[in-house]
Amino acid sequence: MTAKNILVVCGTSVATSTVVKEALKEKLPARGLDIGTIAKAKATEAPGKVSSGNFDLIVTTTQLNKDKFDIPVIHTTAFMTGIGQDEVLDDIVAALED
Amino acid sequence: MAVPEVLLQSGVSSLLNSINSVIQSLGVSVLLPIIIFLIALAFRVDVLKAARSSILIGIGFIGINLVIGLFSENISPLAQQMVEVTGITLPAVDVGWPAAAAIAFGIAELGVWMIPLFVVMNLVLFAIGFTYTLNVDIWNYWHFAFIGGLVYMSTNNWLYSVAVGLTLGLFVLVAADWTQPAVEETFDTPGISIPHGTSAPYAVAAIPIHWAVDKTPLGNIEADPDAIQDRFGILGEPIFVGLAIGLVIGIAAYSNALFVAESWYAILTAGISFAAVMHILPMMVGILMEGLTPLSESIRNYMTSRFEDRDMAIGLDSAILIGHESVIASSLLIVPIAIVMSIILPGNDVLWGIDLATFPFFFALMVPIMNGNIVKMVVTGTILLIPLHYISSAVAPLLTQAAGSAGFDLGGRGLITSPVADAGSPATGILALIPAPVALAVGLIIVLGIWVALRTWPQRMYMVAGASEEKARETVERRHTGKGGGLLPNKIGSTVDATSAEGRSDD
Repeated sequence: MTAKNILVVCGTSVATSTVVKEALKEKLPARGLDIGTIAKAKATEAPGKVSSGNFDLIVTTTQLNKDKFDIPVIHTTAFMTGIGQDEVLDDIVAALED
Repeated sequence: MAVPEVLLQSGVSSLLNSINSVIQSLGVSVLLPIIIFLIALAFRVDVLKAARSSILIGIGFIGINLVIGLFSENISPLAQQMVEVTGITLPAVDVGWPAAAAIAFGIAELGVWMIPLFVVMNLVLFAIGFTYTLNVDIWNYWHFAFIGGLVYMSTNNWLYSVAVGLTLGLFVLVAADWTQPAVEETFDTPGISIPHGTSAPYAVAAIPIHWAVDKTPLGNIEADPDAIQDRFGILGEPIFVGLAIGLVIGIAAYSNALFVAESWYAILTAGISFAAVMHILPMMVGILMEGLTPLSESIRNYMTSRFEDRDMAIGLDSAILIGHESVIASSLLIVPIAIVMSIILPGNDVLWGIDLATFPFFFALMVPIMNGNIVKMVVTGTILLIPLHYISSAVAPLLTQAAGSAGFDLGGRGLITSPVADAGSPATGILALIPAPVALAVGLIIVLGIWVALRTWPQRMYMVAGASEEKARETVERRHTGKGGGLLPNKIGSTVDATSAEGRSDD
């Protein structure tokens, strides 16, 4: 399996996306996934960054129009609230294994 | 081993003096990591993780200082020249929220101490039933440090500064409870509230303005936010906004020599430098945020684990609302309006820069109030821009002084400000610009006024903040009936408020 690249999106690419990026970096390897880059982006930059074709999945903390992307989009606040993290990690793994 | 004689001779006071001078010569990029390390250990973060976090925070500060240095080297002389050539005097350069946040946390006398102080206050307020929100978004405690820091610069009084900082903290908690049903409904964020120091004051100030705007014909115009966002496309990204502003300032500065090749070297350099600052500064702040993340996780667990059986809203950053298409579209449309206003408003000092990319925070909580109607959002926002310019102009000297205190090198080149977050916020106008005792009294009266209104007419209040009648009633039933977990009442007066009673008789 090739390494998967994830784009983490929030309003500023500073605050909540950093929390998610750190959580993914820590928790995904334990689930046997080979993770390449985890990059951050602002909501306004997401379409541009995704169109490069380098990303396999978007994890976003803010609403995004899913129709604008040809890769899976997972919308979650679980990594900030601490509630339901395991379920979201399951979803992320499932989306990347497809 | 010999004890230094000076200490033996003059005892404790001299010891304290030497500690003080050590602290002052260390500088923020060393001192702040040490303080964060101690706070992290107190909240039981693993020692190595705490050490890594602290070092990252020091690195973030050094990075931010580098970028601010680049900015003041390139932009400030141009702004000076623009004044000479065009006669437009805008001495307060907008360095944006990333710098404002770093300055706020970097003020040695207060800064990050706001983190444990606010955590304790929030836990007590939750325990007694004053608020339903646990604000675990410690990054955004910078807003409280910011306002406290400005007060410290004007009063030199630590107690006032802390009290005023915590008053903004109180306000955002009450505002978060108030807007929570509307936010949950509009943005599909169950169990989350938004105690945000930038978004909440603007949204509350927007309520009466929007009420008036809605009575005019403007209230009936609709515009499609998605189309606007698509039209701007990639051009709406901050680097393009930065490039454009840099070019405009450059052209203004060299408007008397536009046919000289050298002028265009300088103009193009200004464009790229501005775009660079716009792009790099948030990255540097991201390093600070990465450093704060482990502390933020343990504070979250520390706070939420205490009240597992209580109805609570987890307070998060309004960054999670900003992908909404109405937010993005309004934030793009208001940029040219802001620039024009900065030139035509008499007495304005603000030269727009980085915070042109911060408007999403300004608009985030207005979406439910105005049903996502971007015409109303932009018109209301434009009216709010008037006080914003004057407040952020008036605050600029204090903020510039605070930046010096936080160890940022501005090279003595004029004033700085951060108009959207939070130098021009109505909260800053009330809390930092009027004398501290009066500001405290006014702030507390506003907070208590909203609190009493929320407990007396909860359904009406939730609807004012943008919740549907159904959502408001559902929240009242869940939250304001029966006894709450705390000492304070969930409801003042009769069990249901007037609109609620009418609503029920319709059932």
